[in-house]
Amino acid sequence: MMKKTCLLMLCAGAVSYGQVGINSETPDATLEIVAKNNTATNKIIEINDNDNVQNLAVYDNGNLEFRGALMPNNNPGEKGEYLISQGAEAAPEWKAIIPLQTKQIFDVFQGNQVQSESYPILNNSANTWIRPNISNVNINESSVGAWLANEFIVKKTGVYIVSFNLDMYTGTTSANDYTSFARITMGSNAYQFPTDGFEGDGNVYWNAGAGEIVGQLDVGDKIFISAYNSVKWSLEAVSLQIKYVEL
Amino acid sequence: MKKYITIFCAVIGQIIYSQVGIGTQNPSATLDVVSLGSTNETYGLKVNDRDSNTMMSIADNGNLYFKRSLIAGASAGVAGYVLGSEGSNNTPVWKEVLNSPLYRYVAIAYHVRNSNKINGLPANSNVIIDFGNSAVINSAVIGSWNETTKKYRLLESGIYDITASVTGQSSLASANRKAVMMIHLGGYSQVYKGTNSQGSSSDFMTTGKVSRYLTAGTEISVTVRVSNLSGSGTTWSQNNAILNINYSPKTN
Repeated sequence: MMKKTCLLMLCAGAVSYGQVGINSETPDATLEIVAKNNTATNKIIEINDNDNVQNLAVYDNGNLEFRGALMPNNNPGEKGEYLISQGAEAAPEWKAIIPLQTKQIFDVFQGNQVQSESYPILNNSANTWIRPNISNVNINESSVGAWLANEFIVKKTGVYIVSFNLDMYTGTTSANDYTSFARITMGSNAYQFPTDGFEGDGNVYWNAGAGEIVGQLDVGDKIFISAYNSVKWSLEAVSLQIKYVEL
Repeated sequence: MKKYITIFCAVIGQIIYSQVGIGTQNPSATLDVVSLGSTNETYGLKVNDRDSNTMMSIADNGNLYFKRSLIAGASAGVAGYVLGSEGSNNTPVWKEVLNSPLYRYVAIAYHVRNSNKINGLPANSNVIIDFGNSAVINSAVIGSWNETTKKYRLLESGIYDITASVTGQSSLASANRKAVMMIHLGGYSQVYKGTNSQGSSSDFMTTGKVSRYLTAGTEISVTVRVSNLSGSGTTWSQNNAILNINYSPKTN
């Protein structure tokens, strides 16, 4: 009986005021729907396409669920844009956070290795390019590349920003007239950097350098660091950082 | 006639389930609308103002259109805020982008490589490097490359990381040849010592990076000076040159 009364009010509402209430005897909108519950599991409104796939739902607790594009003022935005408020009276707008046509940089690899002995054994041969071992991997985004046998194997085409620092311990007090280098290999290209010698406490000697290379690589290309010294040396410290940009 | 049928369905739904179905006899919500199509040509719901302007609509492909502010909780945000998720069952929140991690980005604005060999470059003078015109990243709002002057002119003030690497070859080998690269930022020049390629009697390479706050209008260019070539009148060749310019906004 109660339900019939509600229904009557609904119809009467439609006739008298041009306003329709569902579960409401006093609608204060053209269509006002009052929920039966206040939970996240029941829906107040559900709108489906003709295959019964849900396009929009409003749940009793206020959750709004939708399937397609969100189109303030008919603009669905573009990939990479965010919804930015335009204040209380205007529709929000989809906008890029980073400037037009620039490309966002992502950290995809960071690894380092530091030896702790004061006078380590000089285990690396002179006059030979040697890849230092990097086993402390702090970042490795596996969808972009794999770190295996001290090399980063590229899984995605793009621009790679590779920066390093390297410190070779030579233990010698000889004058700084020998040659030492660090080298970043990126695919088929290798970029050589000078590593300057300096004398530390206790008459020991290091060769240290740092640098960065930015270049475009393809799937399967490898990135690694290697070092060369005209005297025997051991690794004091190395770090390698790789950033990635999708084209 | 169609309207009457629709209302009739609604009435039946109201009686049986306390739920109203439009286009369905089995509503699963207080109001359940099953539409006639599945494309954005037809609509499951359309809300107009009195002048027949659409204020909100749901197209049958699921597109949700709305005319004005999106009020999350009780907040429509402030101009320039972005909508950030707070997870399931929580109201998303409009947030000030300038103080969010979103705005503390570094982006590549310009990336170019010139692999074409350029011969006959003079020794003992600062030779401006030609990075070519085939940039793979080139943001028109951050700056522009001038093919004639071989300078990159900034259109936007901000923090810039400039990385350049140039490899070259001397026409006459000399154990004492020296290459010095300079990255010029307006009137300031950052200098980098080059190195001879280990195991090669003729190749050398220079590479360097500089980070600085630069204002719009500043011009960026790179020069290389090769000296100590043996004999007089010797020249050198540019083999490979890469220029990369990263941009990030000033947030303090």
